[in-house]
Amino acid sequence: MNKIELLAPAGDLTRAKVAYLYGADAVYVGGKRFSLRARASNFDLADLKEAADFAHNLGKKLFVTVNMIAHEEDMVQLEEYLLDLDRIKVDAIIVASLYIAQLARTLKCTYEVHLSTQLSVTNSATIAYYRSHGVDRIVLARELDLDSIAKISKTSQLPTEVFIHGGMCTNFSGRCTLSNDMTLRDANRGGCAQSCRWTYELTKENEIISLADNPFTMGSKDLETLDDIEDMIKAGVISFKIEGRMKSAYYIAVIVKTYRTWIEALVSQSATESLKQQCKRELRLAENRLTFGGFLRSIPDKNGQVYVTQEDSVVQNFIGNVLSVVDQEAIIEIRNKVSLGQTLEVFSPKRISESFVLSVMRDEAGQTLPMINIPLSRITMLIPVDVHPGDFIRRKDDL
Amino acid sequence: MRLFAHIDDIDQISVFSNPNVDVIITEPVYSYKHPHLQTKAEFWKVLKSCLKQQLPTYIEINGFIEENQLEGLKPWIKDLMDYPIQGFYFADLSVLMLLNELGYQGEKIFAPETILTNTFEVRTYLESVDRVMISKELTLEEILVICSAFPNKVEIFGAGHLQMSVSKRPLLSNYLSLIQKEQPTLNQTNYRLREMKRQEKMPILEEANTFCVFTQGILNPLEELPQLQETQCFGIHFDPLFINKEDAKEYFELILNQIKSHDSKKIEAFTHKTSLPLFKGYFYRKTNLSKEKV
Repeated sequence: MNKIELLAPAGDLTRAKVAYLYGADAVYVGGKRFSLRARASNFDLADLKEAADFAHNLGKKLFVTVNMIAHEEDMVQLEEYLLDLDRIKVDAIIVASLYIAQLARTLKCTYEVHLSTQLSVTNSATIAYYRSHGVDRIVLARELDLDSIAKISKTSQLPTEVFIHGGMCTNFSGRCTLSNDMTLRDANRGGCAQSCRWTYELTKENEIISLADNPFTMGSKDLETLDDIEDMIKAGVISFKIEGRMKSAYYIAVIVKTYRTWIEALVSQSATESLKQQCKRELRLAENRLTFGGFLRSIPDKNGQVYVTQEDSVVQNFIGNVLSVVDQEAIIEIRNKVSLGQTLEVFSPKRISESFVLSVMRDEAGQTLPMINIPLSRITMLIPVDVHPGDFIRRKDDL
Repeated sequence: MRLFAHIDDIDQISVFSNPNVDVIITEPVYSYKHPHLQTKAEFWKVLKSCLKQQLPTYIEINGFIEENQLEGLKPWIKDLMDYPIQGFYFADLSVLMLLNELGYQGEKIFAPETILTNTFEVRTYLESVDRVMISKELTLEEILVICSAFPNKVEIFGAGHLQMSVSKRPLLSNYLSLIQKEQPTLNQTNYRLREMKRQEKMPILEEANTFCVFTQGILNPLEELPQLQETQCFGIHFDPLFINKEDAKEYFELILNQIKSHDSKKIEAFTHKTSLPLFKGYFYRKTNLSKEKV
């Protein structure tokens, strides 16, 4: 089998470090400029340097997105930025611009140039074009099925990278201007308002077809591909990418660790059905949205969309981040509701702890709390199992 | 400046038959946005008719070409190359690769809908193709800068409903299936979407492999034509999709006449009386807001 790269997103340094520590081989982040995901608290040059050093000390990689589809006004100081990234020793940039790809080559930058999924590449002939223009890797369009991915990965002259988990555009990436038209926010410059997820009235010849309590919408469920990882490894995909530069540290930790576990099990030929079900459960509990298998097996039907009336719902078990620990008493930054008497566990890079019943919880003034539901408040918990700063506390769910 | 008319129906040929007009036919096998031209037989009929009338004719292949389609695409392009067409429009660079491989000598125009949004990008792709069609989400000022930088190398979408999105999912069928109101959707041009807080009714189109949403507004370039001509914009595209034949004919002829000779009074008269939802697209609307700026 090829060496498989697990590539994770991060919106800030903390999340980048979490991704590395929980098993990512590489992390992709956005700089302050020329990157999509304008709200993803992007990295300045000092942050990028720290992230690159952190990665390289672990023998891992840092990729930087330079994937904005820029207008004339956005092109200021691009050369300096590309050179700065080279000085920082990032391992690759991810671009949606042939000009930027070529400029990086002209400037003799030593990093690789990866072509973003924003360009929706769907075949090996197009890959050959981009290869001849200085591109080193292709992030394939999310609309491809397994057969196409396998054929491309086998015939293409460039390594292929495939999205395996996270949010999905309902439209071809890079070709959607719904947000531009409806909000003057450019989806291709990081301003996407996700107009596809809004609700619409559907008419035909002025007759209303849609239902008032279940209107038309275009929003996609998120991608989840655990079932297909083995086939994609066999197909020759070299990098498995997780979407979500705006997602939380906990989400990144769970998703990365789960796919890492599953990939390692497949590579070492120790994968079992029981482990797969355990991994699926982990993924499900970290989800913000319902998931589906994308285009890998078939064109998405109604079950690939998020509608207003949905019978399924997501379950989340994340309680909070461990900030510090003294003698089994941990300061926790709360993210979701927790009550005394609930069964919890510690989620850390190396293991999941034994469960424990929450018996002591105090606020910052030392007052006992029966329950807390104020995000970002700091409370003290008695945790009678091994726990460290940076770990996550979560509900032990019976699902 | 040329006027490029997109033909989707054999009846449109007589309307577009003019020495100053080039016609573009979207081929039906690897493309979308051709609701009235579904079969190869219909396509050949329109192509041959255009050529018989000696209209300068281009073929558009606008789909995302998948790996398993490459094998069939090559002989198809070869077949098309046998006809005396002016050139090919394409959105997927695999078409360019095959045209080059087959030694095609006609015009090659890259038209990817978005992506081409600045002079740097346009210059880069112009090293591989004869002309480009730049993105729709550009202001007039941005368009003029790009056209000026590359005289007679740049085309724009000039008139018609602006395509806002393209999905590979059958979003209309999926929804009708959800609410158990299945009915014909394929190639139907009479469905509309209205976002709940807005009034605009946006045309949608579901075809065999795609679902697209378009603006309610029909782009109106009439007042801007002199500036576009001055910067040597090579051509503007007119697409009558979703516009009834009579209105399309009248609007098309006005644009054609205005290219020849600008007459603001005629424009004013037309815009006063027409029921077409004309608008200026992104000509005067920058789309650079972020959530924080809204």
